[in-house]
Amino acid sequence: MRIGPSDRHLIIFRESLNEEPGGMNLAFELWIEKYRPKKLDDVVDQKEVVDALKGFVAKGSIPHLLFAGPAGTGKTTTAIALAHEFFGEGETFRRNYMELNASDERGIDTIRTKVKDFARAMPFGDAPFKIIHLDEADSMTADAQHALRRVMELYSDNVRFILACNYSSKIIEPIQSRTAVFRFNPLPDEAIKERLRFIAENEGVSYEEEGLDAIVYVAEGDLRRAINLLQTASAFGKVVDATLVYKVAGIASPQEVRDMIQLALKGDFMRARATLRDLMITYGMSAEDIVRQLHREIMALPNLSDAVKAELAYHIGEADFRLTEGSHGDIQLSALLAKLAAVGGRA
Amino acid sequence: MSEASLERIPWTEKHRPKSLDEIVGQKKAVEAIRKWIEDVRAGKKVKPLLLYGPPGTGKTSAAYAIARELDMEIVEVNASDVRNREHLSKLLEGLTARSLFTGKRRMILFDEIDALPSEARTIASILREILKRAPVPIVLTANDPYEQGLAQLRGLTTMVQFTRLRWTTVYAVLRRIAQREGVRLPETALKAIAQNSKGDLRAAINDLEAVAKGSRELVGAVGRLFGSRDVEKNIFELMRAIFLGKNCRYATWMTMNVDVDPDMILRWVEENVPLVYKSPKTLALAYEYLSRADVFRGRIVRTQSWRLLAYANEMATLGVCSAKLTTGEQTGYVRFSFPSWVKQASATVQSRRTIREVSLQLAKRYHVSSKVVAREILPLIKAALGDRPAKVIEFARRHGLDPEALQSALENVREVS
Repeated sequence: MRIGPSDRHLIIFRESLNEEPGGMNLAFELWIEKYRPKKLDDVVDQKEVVDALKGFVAKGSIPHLLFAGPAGTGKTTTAIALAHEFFGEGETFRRNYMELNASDERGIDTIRTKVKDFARAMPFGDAPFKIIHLDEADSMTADAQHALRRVMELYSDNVRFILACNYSSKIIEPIQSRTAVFRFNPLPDEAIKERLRFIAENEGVSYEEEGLDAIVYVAEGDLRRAINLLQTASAFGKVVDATLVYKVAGIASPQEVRDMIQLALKGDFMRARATLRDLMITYGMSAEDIVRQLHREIMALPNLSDAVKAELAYHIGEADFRLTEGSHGDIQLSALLAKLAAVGGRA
Repeated sequence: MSEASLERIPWTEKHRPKSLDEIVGQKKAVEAIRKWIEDVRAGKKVKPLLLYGPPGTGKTSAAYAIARELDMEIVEVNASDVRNREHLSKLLEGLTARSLFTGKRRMILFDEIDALPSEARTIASILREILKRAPVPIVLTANDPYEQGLAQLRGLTTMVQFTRLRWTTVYAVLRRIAQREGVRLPETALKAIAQNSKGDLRAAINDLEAVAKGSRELVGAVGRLFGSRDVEKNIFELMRAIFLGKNCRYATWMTMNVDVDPDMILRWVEENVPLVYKSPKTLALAYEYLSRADVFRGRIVRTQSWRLLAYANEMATLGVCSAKLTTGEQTGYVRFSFPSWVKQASATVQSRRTIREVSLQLAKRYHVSSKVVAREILPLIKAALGDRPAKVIEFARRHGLDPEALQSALENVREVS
């Protein structure tokens, strides 16, 4: 069963009805949606960006925008909030705002078609233009980005683009020069924790302080991930504590990763590799997640000299790169563990 | 080709044992079968006979030999009969009567029942039905009776095990057949065929026939070429060449001439590196080559440039093999191990696909990419909906998802234990 866009609006509408006090609270709601800031002023910890954007709203015009920053720092939320400030709620918003994710659309042709179809029609109501929010724009190839630049120019009378990316350097210069670039900084741990505490109290979730710390550790500055983790953990257990958080995060606890590193450094490669396979198969961790965690933990090891750390940084970085090149993440990580064993044997 | 048409009966049929005495290498099984035959003759109520064991060990031959000893005619029930109930009941109705043509009594043979594990329940109920109606002797054969689906059948039958044949037994049979057929082959060729057969006499006779008829040029290379019948043996030889041998180029040569999936080779080498190489230096060096070989695998897969395969194989064989020579590590015999990763990970391909499809559909709804849905939101939905199908269906309906797809995606999302 597939539903069209108009049905989807119906459903969203019905769910918002369910939120009303006394409504039948059948809808299962994601907290990332429920607690998504509706107004620019409510966006967490991105004051400079917000102030600048409010200036555009006041003038009633915006340029093309490029939001650069890590995941979960508020890029999408800011884009939606900005669109709401322009279009208000209801139909004006829905018909003038479109969201696309470049990593989920197959090829530039899909984007071009969708963008063209959306941009061709005049803005609905008295809106001066439409807004297209293209997320993960840096996942597009350079060729695709050049094609996108053409599209941006072609329809710039009718449409403003908000491009979001993790790294602005991966966006081609012609696009960068046509956009106002805003950087979103990773959220400080304290800001994330404060938000988590607010949601937890509001939802009546019991938690331990270490539980929130664990969420902050796993989330690495990504507020969306943090909130999703809080909701998942609270659905599983009565009290959100650290053990539960690591379990639902599908992530090894820092201790498990440290143990694996120590096994490798001691030269017990077989057990180190067994731990690795366990993390990947039983926990379902991706090779990318593991290499990042390995990096974090190795750099924090107190008993390794800086010279050794520098050498390991090279090996970890090389492994990280080969992950994207190779076809079997586990082989690359096992090779890295073997390197650790060799370095550990010398140290 | 004309030669082949003159000799139309395959040797495996032509030289099939005619009586139980001619079945080789299965002394215990034959004894058990004789006892069962005596009981049938004495008019006792007997359980169906389940003959089980590896392929080519004489199960079907034994079934036909039994019929001959009892002077009965075999009615063979195959997979499609079992599926076609109407046909089957007709078949079974006439069972108690003697054959119209020969006047003989009849015996039923269900051959290779484990080829249809999903029908095991049906077969079991058919067996019960037949046993209730009339005391017709029944014989079944199977490779692996411990297959899960066959549990019910095991209880209903008398089980007789056929064991893998020793190569010397296979060799003796091959020599006899070669003599009867007037084929002159060197001893070494017969020996190679026998050893490669892994105790499967039928396979060995087929190989012998292939070599004898027209493929004589294969005789010299028989050991290598028939190797493809025996993937595992080749892999072990490759492992020995890489980890124990000094001539690393022989190992590389094997990867080109052995019919094994290159990915499998990589997996086998990786599994066994730490079992053989004990010094961290050798281990790291060998793994460095494996890592590079894997990078090449990635390039091959992405660009479909199969000519790069030679480089990948050279890194995995020459590189890993020479690591011990570079560091001077002495290696000794180890028991090579099957790559456990393959077993553990192979189940997840299909489930990843379902997860991706559902995630794509939910991504828009939550203003995120499908990756984020798969990693963060599906586990959350699973936690919130729990094991309540009604909730899952309701959620699917609300979000325009196929309930079955959602259910399956949720089942495959990482288990939180």
